Amino acid sequence: MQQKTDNNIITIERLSHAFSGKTVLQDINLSIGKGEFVTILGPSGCGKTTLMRLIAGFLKVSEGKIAIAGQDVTETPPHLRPVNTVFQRYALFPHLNVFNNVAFGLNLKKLPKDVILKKVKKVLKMVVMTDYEERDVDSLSGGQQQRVAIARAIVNEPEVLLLDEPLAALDLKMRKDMQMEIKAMHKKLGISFVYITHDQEEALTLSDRIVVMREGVIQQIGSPIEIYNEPANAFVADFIGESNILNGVMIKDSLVEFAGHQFECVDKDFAPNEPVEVVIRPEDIYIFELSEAAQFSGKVTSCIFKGVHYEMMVTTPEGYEFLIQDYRNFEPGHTVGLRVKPFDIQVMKKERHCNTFKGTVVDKTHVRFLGTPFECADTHSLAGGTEVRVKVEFGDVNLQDNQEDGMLSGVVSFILYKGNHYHLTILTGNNEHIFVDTNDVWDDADCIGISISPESILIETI
Amino acid sequence: MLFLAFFVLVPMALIVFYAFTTIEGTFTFANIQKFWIHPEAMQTFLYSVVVALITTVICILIGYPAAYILSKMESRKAKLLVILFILPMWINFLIRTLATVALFDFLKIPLGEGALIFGMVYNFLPFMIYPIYNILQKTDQNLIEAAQDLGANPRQVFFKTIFPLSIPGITSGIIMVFMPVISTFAIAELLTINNIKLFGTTLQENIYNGTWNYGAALSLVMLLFIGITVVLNGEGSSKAAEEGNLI
Repeated sequence: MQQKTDNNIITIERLSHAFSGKTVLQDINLSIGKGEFVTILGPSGCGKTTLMRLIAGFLKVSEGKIAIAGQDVTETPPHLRPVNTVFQRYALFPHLNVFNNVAFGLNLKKLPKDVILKKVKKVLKMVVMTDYEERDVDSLSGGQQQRVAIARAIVNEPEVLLLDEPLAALDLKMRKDMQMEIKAMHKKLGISFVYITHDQEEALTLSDRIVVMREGVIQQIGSPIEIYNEPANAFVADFIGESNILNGVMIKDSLVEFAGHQFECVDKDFAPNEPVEVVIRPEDIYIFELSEAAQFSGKVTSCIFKGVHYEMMVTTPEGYEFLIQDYRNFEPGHTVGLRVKPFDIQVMKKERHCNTFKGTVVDKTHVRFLGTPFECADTHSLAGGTEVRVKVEFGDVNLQDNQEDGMLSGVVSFILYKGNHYHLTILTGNNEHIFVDTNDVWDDADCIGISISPESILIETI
Repeated sequence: MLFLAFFVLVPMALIVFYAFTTIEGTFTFANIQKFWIHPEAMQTFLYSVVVALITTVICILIGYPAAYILSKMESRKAKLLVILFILPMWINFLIRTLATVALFDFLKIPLGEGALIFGMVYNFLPFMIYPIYNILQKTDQNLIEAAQDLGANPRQVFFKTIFPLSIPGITSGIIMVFMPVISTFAIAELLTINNIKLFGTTLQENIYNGTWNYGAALSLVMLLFIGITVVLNGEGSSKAAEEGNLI
């Protein structure tokens, strides 16, 4: 067999997965290096657990390839893969004591008794559970069960350790301690860790590299610093840490306009006057008594003590709201000066400028898209059945509380605050996305009715 | 509480009272002694235990695979099948057994020991399948995946994880099959044309013939025997009662 010389322990190519007709993962390409600590991060339902289960072999791959240690394992059953898993709810065997839980894998390999004893003792020492060998697993606390689960996996000396939200069930203090222990363990073992979590802080603390996922698609892969400082899009910026995300216009190279002011920045290679999204971290806005040095000003509307810093909301005269973190505090009502340094402004290409759908003309006054016929003011007198492109501005989509009041219904799947309005992503009944700009406050997972006025539906021939 | 007092405690007290008294109502150990020295009663008792053991073993051998297959099925299908398994239980078991007798007659199979075991298994199999199915179906999928993950092939997954985890279901099934088999009399009477006597039959005869005191003593012996088995099952049975009971 050909010797693989590359340093990747896991290579995932063009991996897709569908479950009962619904795409859960879409075109995943990912390489994980030997000894690397990679975190797969995303909100619930983003497909991260599915990805882990595909790597472990619990799910069958619909499309694509997974290779572990140079071997194609796409069709290999889980018990023959050189990976071990730490399960979210530990999954310890209730009919076995701590020792036999840890020795489970070694017993299956039919290793000599004394070797098993030595190995089990060694890993139990490593997870600081030495005196618990004879204990019933049900009598252990959550943290202790977690330690046994880790010991049970690493005793088999896998090439890759998969950890599926291992700390999700622990309380905050315990979680912080375990994070440090897991990191230390990773250093000591020198094997690759693939860590699944929805906790961005955990991901930033632990990882060499972070893979941010959303709705089955990888959004960004990068080191914690890259992901935090240079988020690839508004979703990543919003999900990792806190941020101010605003719509802006790139006037020319190194000059961007947002919130009604022009700012010097370090980004280039945009078309003149290209609409963009701007990300500024709350700690990167300087707040001070109004003076000459201010680029813009605002009025403090709230100020909360957060331990290390104060968190303030500041509203500018132009009507934009900024989240600002600073060691100093300014009382609500106070007028302050604000300033942002050029390299603290992260400019991102806009993913989309308006809603675009595939549609078909029904008759002179109606067009069908999103599986629903809409009344349309101007169909350009196209014949019924003509395929067209339908465009609707984000601001022209109306949302109703009652699903029945809309022409079609949907669920709010993602909310982005853009300083002076909300940008919502709505998942419609037939699994398509519609994006909406609104000033009304909606909650995640709200069920809503959607309607669009006939004048707002613009039709273009393809 | 009142219900328990009337229908459990009072009858129990009466059994104990009758077992230790003569017809005239004076205290005696004679009834119990009679059981130990009377070879016929003792023999019937041992024979009943053997029949119950055989029935239980056959029920496990048929019931476990059946329950396993059911638990692997899509849940809607499985539920329907479980109902089909339990459906005969809704018919009075005397009528069911009489029908079995008729069937054996029709097929020209002689009644006797074989027919007796068949009748027992037929009647009690659902009581074995259901608790095992119940516990298998509730087996944590994560544990099966954990075993696979640690290198267990499908066979090892079964013998190292699924089977040990289902033992409380088996225990529950045993309790629900073994005990009633010892004490049934109708099945034995009908399927062996009264040729084979089980302990239940002896009990029934004594009560029927008016020797209540001796009958009560025999009942008490059986009760103790059942009690001892349950206690020996210990932890397992109490867990089984929680997790795998029929009702």
